Amino acid sequence: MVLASYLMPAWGLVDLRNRLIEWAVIVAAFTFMLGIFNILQVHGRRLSRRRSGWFYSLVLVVAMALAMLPPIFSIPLLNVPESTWMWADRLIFDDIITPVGATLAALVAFVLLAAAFRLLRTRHSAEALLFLVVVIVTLLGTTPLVGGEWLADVRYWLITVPGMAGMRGLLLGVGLGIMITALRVFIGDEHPYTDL
Amino acid sequence: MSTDTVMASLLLGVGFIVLMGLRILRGKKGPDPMVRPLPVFQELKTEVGYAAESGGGLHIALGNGSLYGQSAITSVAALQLFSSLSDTMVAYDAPPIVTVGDPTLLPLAQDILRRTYERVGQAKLFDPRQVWFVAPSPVAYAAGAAQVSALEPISAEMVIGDFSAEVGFIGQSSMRHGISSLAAVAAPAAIGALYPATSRLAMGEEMFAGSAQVTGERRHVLALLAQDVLRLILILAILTSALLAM
Amino acid sequence: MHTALRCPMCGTMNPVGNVYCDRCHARLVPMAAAPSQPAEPEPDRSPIKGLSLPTIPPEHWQEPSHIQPGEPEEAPIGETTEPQAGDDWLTQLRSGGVEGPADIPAQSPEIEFPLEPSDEVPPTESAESEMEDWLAGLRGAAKEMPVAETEVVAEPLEPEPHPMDTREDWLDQLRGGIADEIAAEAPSYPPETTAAEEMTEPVEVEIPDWLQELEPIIPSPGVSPEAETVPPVAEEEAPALEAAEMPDWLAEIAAPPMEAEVEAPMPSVPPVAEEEAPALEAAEMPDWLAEIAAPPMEAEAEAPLVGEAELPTGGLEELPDWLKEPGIKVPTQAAPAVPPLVEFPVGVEATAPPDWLAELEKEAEISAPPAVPAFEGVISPSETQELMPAEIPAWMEALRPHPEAAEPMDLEPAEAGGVLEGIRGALPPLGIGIEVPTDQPPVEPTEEAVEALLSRAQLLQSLISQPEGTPVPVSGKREGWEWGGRIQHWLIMLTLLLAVVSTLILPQFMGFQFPPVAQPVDSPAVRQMYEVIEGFTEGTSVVVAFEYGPAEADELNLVTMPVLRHLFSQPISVTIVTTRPEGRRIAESILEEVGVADGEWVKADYHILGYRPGNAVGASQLLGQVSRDSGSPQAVVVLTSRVVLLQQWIEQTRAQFQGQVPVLAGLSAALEPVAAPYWATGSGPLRGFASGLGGAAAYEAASGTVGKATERFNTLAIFHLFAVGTIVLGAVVYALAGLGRKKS
Repeated sequence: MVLASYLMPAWGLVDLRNRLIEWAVIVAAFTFMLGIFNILQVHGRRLSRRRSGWFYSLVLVVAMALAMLPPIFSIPLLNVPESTWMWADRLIFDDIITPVGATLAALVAFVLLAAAFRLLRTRHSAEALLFLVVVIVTLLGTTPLVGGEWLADVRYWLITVPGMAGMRGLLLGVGLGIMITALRVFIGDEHPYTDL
Repeated sequence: MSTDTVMASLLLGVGFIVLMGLRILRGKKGPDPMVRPLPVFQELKTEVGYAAESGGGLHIALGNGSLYGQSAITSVAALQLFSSLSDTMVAYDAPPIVTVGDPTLLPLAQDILRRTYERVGQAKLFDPRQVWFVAPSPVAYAAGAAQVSALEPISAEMVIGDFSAEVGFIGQSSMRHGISSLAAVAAPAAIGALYPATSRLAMGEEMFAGSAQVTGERRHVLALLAQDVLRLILILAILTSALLAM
Repeated sequence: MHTALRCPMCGTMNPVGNVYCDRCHARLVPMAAAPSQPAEPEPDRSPIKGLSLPTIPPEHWQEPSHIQPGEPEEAPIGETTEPQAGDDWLTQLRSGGVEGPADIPAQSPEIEFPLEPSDEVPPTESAESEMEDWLAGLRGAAKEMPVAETEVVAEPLEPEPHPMDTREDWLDQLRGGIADEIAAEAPSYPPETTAAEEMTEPVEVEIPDWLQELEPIIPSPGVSPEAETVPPVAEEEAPALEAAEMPDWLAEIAAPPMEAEVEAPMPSVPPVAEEEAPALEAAEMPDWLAEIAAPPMEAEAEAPLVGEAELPTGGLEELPDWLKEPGIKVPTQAAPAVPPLVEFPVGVEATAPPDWLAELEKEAEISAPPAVPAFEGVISPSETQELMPAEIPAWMEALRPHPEAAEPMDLEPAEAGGVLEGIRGALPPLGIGIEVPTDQPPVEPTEEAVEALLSRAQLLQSLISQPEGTPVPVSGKREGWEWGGRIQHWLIMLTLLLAVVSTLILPQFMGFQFPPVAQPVDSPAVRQMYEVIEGFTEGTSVVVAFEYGPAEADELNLVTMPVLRHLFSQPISVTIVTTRPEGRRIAESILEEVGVADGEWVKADYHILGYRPGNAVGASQLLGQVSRDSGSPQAVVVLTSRVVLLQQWIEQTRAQFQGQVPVLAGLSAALEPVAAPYWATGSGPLRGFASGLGGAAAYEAASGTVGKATERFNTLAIFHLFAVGTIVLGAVVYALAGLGRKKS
């Protein structure tokens, strides 16, 4: 019905689509509760059995509990001063979550660099060498050194011609796969969750 | 109706016709269609066997894709591949640890695992805590999933689903702990991050060939064949439009 | 006449001298004396609850309703609803008022002796009630009996191997021989019956008159007296056997034991009918019995046969009248009232017991004689106290099953509760879930095997004691992480640290500026984005979607700030939306940092629409709401680091506004290759984008401002330089190492 409402926006299908989508969104929002319970289950068991890494599980559970406090304090019934829970919210979000997240994101660069450093150890091929060459050109072209502006042009050509071509092919292929899979779901041929 | 809607409808219709036609014509008769073997999927069952022999388990990372977003079908494909593998894993007594980055995948993954245990008659062995919801944030999920290989007795790791560049955490961790890693991702950033980490990598649309490669079921193979037919049609359409534009 | 006792359990005919049945080992003779007064049937007496025990009194054998739950609804062994034809003596007992069990347990199939059909076969109800009285009397006395005796008596219906089964076969042969001889020499038997052929078990013994009038002995408590007692045998109308019918050898054997003074507890006399029947006339005693009884009565019998123990052994003046009647010779001492097992030939003089028999007498343990039963109407309770227990021969005493001997049978302890409470051996030992292979030969473990078994048991115990689900931790280092890898990681980290520290931190402490090594690149995509924003007119509605979280904030904030500054410097209306839970918080933070709240340069007004879940669905809903509130927007600015989020906004915007609304994007550097197809040199749905620090610096350069992106661009260039150097170094090292490996 949702798909039909996009193809034929008539006969009240649009309103029905919106209503169905809202219901789906509400149900999806409740899955967050499932996720929270799952986190407590998994890490609670690790804590109770003192398995390896139990300390990190303890930190996780405590941090989750603390992060839930500011939104709880914001409930008017509790009559917590706004300045108090806003201060707590800012402390948790701006001073803890954001820096920790940024640290993790920074580690991505380090991890990718380490992986590139060992590339020729895992893949000993011309394809891997070409990969490295493209990486180097892209890095130098993004921040072209003084006197190396031509690298920026090379980088631009790599992104807009072969890169774009490959990316389009990739996106088209993925799109086709998504479409076929979606059609199989529609006709009931794709049933990974049943025994039928 | 806009042009985009017309084009989308047309494409959907053609795709439906091709898929149903193949199912009707080659559904139960005729030779099995040829499928280019992909090393990553061919070695999946072998890895499961190695894991069973070594006494370790498998880590299946299903990514951050949700069921109501852009990556819904990608997540469905990942779940399908997981479902194809779960029978082998449970039969070989190599219990998996499944990590998800979106809570909508949590009950589905649990259900797949539970049904697998029921099929083999070991329903009592199913533990819903085998499926972990790590974190909704992609970077936090990748960091948490990377810890699985460090803390749990894992023998092999399978990365399937919607990822981005942060999947490098998982690849690096498996490389560091000597865990055999296989990956099937569609996002270019994830491909670039995993390319140096593992040689067994399925990129882009190859991810949708996982079920056919693992199970060999005719319906999966016919879906791949339908993709090939549609791709061919698309290529012809592009070339034709290019020639006409000239 | 018959000389056998019928077992109340299985119906097997046993010799008169038997205390226990040869087949099922049920007690044939009650142990306790019955009270003088007729006891009322115990209404509250609960029968033994067991599957195989005779829990039903004889009078209830034909009443299935009395069968306890769990008991098989089947008649006790040997019971049949129809009395066998030929139970003449038993029938006579009944007809003559001698009451017996209402339904006599049918004889077992093995017992094949001719039983004359009787006209009074079916017992009447009056006979049943009459029998109940004497049986009830037996019950009352049975209450006082010790439990051990009860348990001994309360044996399962199913015949179990009894130690006494191993006794000499001579007794069986004796019995059989007597039966054969009696059958052969008894012309009174109906001609159609071939006793010699049919009789394979001891012949049914006819209870003599004196015995019939004796009060039945009260059985032990917990056991139905009817189960213990032998049903009264019917009178036999057949003429008595001649004394000459008894073989000589039997006569010689039988005579001496009767002379011996053996105080052996004799099995109780089969309960005779209530004393409604008048004393039997002397003429009723069969001749053969009279002839048989005479010599033993005259002899000094020390071991009376069955029934003698219960007989009054007092003085002649105490004997009942019927015993004093002429023709009946009452023994002066312990009267072996029960005729001997065999018929003694007339005229045979009793000889001295053989030596072997004398030895048996000495060796035989004499247990406490059973209490003398008080037969109703025959002997008063006071008289029973003066009666001496009858003596049984030593050879018979030796055959007495002792409780100790019976103990081995009781392999299992008595049931503690349930329907089988107090019963032993009712059920086989319950298995404990371990199937013991019975076909394996017994293994005699050696020392090494014992140690191996012990170690294995310890291993199993350790495995079992592990918590469920606890995976075995992988000990030791795994492959793949050698010192070389550690060194490489440290090297890379130091390189990057040097790059960052030298360009960002040192200048602040050292007070010098690192010379610029790179210039921002003028990207067409960035330029186009700048031109689109710059072209917004007054009142333009723009939607800004914050689609990144705290993890990406460090990078994307550098891209977002110059774009927001440019936007808010335009006289437009900005609507801030997000489909990420943390998107609103990020937006408030960045807006505060940009200073849109109180900056004079701010010309745009904005409002935060909020968070809408559902990714693409949320994006569609947000766009629809914006359209409804303030009309169709002129542009949508997406700030994200994820491909799917960029795609969803592009697709939803195109779907909702049919491509009339351009999409601008502030992206992470990693998304540039993905965004490029959508931009497609300005002809695609993406009208412009700025990706990463380079794009932000380029946007600042285009807008003529110097912000953090410009400040950090130099650091980024040096970082890239060090990274390239690291990659080249690694490539060279591993390439050479690979070549060396190939050569080797």
